[in-house]
Amino acid sequence: MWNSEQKNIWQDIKDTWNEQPQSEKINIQVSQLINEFKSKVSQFEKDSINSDIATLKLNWAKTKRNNVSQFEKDSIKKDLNIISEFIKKVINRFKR
Amino acid sequence: MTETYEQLLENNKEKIYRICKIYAAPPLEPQDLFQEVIFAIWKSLPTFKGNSIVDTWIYRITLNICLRSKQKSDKTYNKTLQLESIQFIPVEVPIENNQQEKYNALTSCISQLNNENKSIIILYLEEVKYKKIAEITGLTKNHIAIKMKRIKNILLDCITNKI
Repeated sequence: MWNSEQKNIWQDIKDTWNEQPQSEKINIQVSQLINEFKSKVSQFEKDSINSDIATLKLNWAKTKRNNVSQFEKDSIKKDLNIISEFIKKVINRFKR
Repeated sequence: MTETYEQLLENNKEKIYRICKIYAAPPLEPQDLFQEVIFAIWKSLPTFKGNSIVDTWIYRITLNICLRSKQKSDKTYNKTLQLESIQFIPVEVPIENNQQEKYNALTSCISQLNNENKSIIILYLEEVKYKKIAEITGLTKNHIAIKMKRIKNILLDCITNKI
């Protein structure tokens, strides 16, 4: 259970957050802003999509590199050898 | 739609900027993130059906944009276009050292949390109820309550050490 001292501390923290010193005033000309959005939307989105694709590529490459261990690589190699041998045997049988 | 958007921005710009300041990391400035957020809000406005409360919707968009920006590395991030219709005018405020020190300690400690915990504590500090935090983050209300206990302990320890 929370005592009143803890409640006061958290209220103080909340006040610190909500009354944080404002270093900048934000002025927005909304009608102009909407025109800007409309005129720049295609380039804006293109940049954003390109950026997303680049991020995905980078992360995918990292994931692939990190997730395939040497053990898995060796295991896949072994499996491929077994499959190749099996196919060779089957082909040889057909040849007879 | 323009009037609705204008009202939305007027009512929420400060809170959006507060959150952007926490998530902005080089090469991104809080102003860049702010622009991305309000662009995303503008794009989503036609699809907002009022099923969720405006606040919840705004927080969800803001946090999604901020979290997505964290995943972008310096190499892959293309700076957003600079919008001339938004001006950030420096304000000279009387500096209360004590208040500034507390704020710096708080933001520094929040920055050390992981992304999920960061979102939760920001929403809590914004006076959002647990039920709404659950809606925004996609977690259950009980899960939020449990997480909040842990986050509060971590944050309190960190702040106490800094002040």
